[in-house]
Amino acid sequence: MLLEVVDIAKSFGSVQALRGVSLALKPGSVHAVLGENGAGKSTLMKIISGVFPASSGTIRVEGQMVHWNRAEQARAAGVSTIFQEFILLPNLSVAENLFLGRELRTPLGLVDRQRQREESRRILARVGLDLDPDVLTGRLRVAEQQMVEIAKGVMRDARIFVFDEPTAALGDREAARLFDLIRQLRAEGKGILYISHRLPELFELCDEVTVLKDGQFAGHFAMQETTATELVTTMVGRTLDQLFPPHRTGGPGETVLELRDLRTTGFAGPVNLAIGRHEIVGLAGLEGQGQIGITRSIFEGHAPETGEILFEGLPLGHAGPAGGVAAGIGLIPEDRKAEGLFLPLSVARNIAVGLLSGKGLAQPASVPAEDIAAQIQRLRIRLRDAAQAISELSGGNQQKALLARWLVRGVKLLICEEPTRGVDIGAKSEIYAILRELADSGVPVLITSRELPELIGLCDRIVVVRDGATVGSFPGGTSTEEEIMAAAIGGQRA
Amino acid sequence: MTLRKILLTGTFLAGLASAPALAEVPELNSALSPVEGSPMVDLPASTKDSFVLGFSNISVVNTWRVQMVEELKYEASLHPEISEMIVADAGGDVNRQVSDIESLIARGVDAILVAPGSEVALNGALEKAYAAGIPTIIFSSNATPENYTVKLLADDAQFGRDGAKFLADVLGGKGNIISIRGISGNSIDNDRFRGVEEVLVDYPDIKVIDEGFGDWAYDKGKQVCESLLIAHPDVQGIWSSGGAMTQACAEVLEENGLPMIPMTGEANNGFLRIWKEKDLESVGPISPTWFGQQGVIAALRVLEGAPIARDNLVNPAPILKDQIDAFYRPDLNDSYWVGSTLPDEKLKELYGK
Amino acid sequence: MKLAGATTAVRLRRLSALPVFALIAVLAIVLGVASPHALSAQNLINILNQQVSLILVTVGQTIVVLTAGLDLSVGSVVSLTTAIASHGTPFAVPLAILAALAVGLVNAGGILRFGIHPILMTLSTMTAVQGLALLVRPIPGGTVPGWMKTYAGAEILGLPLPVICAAVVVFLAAVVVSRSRFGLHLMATGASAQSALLGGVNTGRIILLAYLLSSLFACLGGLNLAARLASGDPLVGQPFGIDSIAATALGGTQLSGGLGGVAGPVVGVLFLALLGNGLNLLNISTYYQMIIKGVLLILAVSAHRRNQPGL
Repeated sequence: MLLEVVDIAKSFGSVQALRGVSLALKPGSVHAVLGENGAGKSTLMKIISGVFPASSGTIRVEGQMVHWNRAEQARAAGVSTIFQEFILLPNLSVAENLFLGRELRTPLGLVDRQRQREESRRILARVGLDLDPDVLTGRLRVAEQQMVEIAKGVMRDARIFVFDEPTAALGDREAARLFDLIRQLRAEGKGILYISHRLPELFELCDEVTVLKDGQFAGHFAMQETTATELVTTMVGRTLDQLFPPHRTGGPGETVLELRDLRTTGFAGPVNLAIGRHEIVGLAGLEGQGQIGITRSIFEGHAPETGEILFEGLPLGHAGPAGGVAAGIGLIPEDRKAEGLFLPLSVARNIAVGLLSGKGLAQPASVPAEDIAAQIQRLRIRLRDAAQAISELSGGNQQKALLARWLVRGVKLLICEEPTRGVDIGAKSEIYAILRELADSGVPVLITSRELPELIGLCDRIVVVRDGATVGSFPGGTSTEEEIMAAAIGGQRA
Repeated sequence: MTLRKILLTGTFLAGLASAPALAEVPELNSALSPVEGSPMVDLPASTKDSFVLGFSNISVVNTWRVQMVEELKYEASLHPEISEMIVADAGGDVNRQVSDIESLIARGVDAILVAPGSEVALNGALEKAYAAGIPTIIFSSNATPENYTVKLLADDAQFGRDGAKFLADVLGGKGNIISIRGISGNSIDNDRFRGVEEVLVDYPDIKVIDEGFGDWAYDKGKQVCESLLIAHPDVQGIWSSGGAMTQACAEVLEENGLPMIPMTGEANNGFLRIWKEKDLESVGPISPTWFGQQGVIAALRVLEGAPIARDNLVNPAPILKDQIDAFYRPDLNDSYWVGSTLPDEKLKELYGK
Repeated sequence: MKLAGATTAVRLRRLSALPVFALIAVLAIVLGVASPHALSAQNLINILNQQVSLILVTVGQTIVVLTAGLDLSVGSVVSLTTAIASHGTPFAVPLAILAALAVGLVNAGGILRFGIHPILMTLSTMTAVQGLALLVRPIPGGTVPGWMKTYAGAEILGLPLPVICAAVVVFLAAVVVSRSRFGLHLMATGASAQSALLGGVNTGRIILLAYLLSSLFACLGGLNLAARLASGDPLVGQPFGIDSIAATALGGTQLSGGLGGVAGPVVGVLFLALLGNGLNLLNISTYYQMIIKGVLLILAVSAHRRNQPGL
């Protein structure tokens, strides 16, 4: 065994994050670690990569017992971790990042840039990356940064690679390239631990899977002998077809929002779209085809280049998000951490933000405890108490808090960009149910999503966007991924 | 580093211009007298017909210094043999004053006049000037290089002695006083207070029960005086290191309904006005601003080879209450320092109301 | 991304000091036209000699700023150093160095161990050390050892020894910051201490070293000043804290850390000095000078727009 984790437990204060978790990684294999957020995957990964020690239990690398307190020790023992938050330094060059902490030096003791550059080229070539080693990593695309991380592990001759949701920020082509690289590592006899929420890619890539639930070992399967249903059931105690609420059987209701011949900056357009009172409409399309331009035009109301937006029959005349909020529109942004949350503030404050807009600066910023408690309960946000910093919550619970922000205010239209990005499956199904409940109660929902199964499973109607234009509309539930993709790609590549 | 160039074209008054420069070597003010045992300057006369003088001033933070610099410039303008008078102002930074002096050495001026900002900090630069054969004239406040050409200093201790004697007399040799001092660590303030201590040795029943530093300024003086008087409302007298602080103290007493008590002042127009208006019991020691003028004269005497002692002190008698009218200038504003040698015209320009 | 052609790390770091180099060039031309004396070798040497202490202090400040910190206590360390060095005790100079290192240690300790924000931590030590300086030497004066006076007055080939020493120190510091492992780790720590730590940088040690160096450079600046003034002054260092930060920012070192170098801030010091010198030559009142300096500082600093990746 390359890596054996036996009976690991970890507690933070009174919180027991892990209990009796065991896992064995064979050389030349890709081992998935699956579990809901909060199931303890990240904690386990951090113990394996030495960020903090376990409270009890043992870790053996090639049979040798190890005790790590710092990431450096794990790295020295051959564990390379590609963290979810990249640890490349944006202000250093690729070569400097690769050699950080173990710089090559000239006889004078200075950094030997020339030799580092040459070495870097060699290593980058090994992971199939054609990059100038002098370029700033901050200028690289996310996928390239990941590759550099991997190159760093390869360079250090790591035997164990830990990937923490590596495809969360990647496009399909980049993901495919990453998978190739991971397969190459496997072929070289490395052991790979792979965390992801995306079941399909696990089947594509992994050899075996360990499932965690509530900080405990919940199951271990060979990938070829298991099914998605079985994994989901093990993980959340629920089957996959229960993930989505049933589609609406009645009509869409009267039109609440209508976009007529809308053209957004930088795209050809036009967009023509109408959303009924009881509908969930999804915007599909390839990456960056103007979906976000559409949602932001509605919410922020910046004058579109041409065309108009009618909301409840009247043209939207506001400029800026405050106007959108005042008109009764709520937006849950794609980049939750940067645009949605106030990370250091409490959950209660983050929810109460929804009540602030439209208030005078001198008015008190009320935090109505009862209303907030009601939303926390309704959305089943899992937390210690409402005063807890929102940064401590899992992605799913953060997303629910953002939903609560608009529910506590009461909106007439909800826009949700990537409603379940970085959200575990259990929370996903809860969020879907809430969105459906909203639509049923007369608050239409407009979502954008990169995940076609999500659009098909959740939405009443899927509108495909290509180069800022609406090019097709498909009913939810019955459409196939293929026909939506075909519309999204259009004539160009098909 | 200020190198404020003042190109003086000279005042070519018909009669003066034609007179030979050598015959016109000006005399020092008679109030300046050589210190006992001071050697005479024995530098050879300069062979040049015209001179470039450099003046390194520590700062022009208060009107005393402004007036002093004006007197220097005015005197320089009277002498056609001075072809250029360079004035460098260090803005209160001794580090900069060192550079200013070095810069004057580098420019090869014929004499360096210095109003030092520190007793010790400039010594290196002044030694360098002296070693370079440039006469160095230290005036108004002290610096202590081993070698220098001429020093013109007020006996600042005398300022303190005058004030302390006055207080001792008026209090009948008995009572508690507070002292409002200038800038902490300043040599002038230290010397002035040393004079006070010298006198009070003979009056054991007069005690300085508290002191504060008012930086010679009106606002800070007022704060310091207020807090001292609140702490000790029953003091019988105030010794002040001068500046605008005495006026501030008088106002503090008035505003707090305390009786006017004897306090020492300084010979400046604002204080004389208050003295007169409030009928204070006071004395006005003089700290002459004509140091600037005398500095130029001393430089000329050295350069022309006229006799001059190395160390000179000035001990002007203080202004007494019955002499106020002889010094007070109601036509000038409060900032004027009495006893100036500047012509009326210049004074009106500076201090006109 | 305005610097499209300059995406390599080394070039970016060099570019960061560009605006101040451009500014000083413009200033030199203007001064050269306005006053023939301004650019005379002697005047320039004089300015250099006068600025040696601030240059040394600024080098230390830059090192701290690169770690995304700030050291307000340098001015008090300068004062304390002159106070101790002028005290006439046999081991005055080693004592001054030890005292400075102690200040650096306390700064780093507070920041690392107790998580105090650098501004608050160094503000506190600034105040405390100022008090200490006044205790050691309540009023200016004293004298320094003879060798210090000799050092301050010595010249080699017409260049003052302090200027030569400062040039050597600045050169070494520049090489260390831009080319050494320590320098690289400074940048890494400044950009993201968390990432640097995960990347194998001992960020605690880097931050400790940075504050120790900052205090040490402040001490060197103080020793130079004491030597030059042949005396001590408990308040002489007061302007150094703000001045060194201004010069650092002016020199293109981002106060948010991770980008910059030593050369820029040193030129920043010289720019401010030359500006003051020039404004004096042009006979502009001190009050206007302050306004002009403030405005120029804003303009210069805003020239480094924060469009660098991740900074």
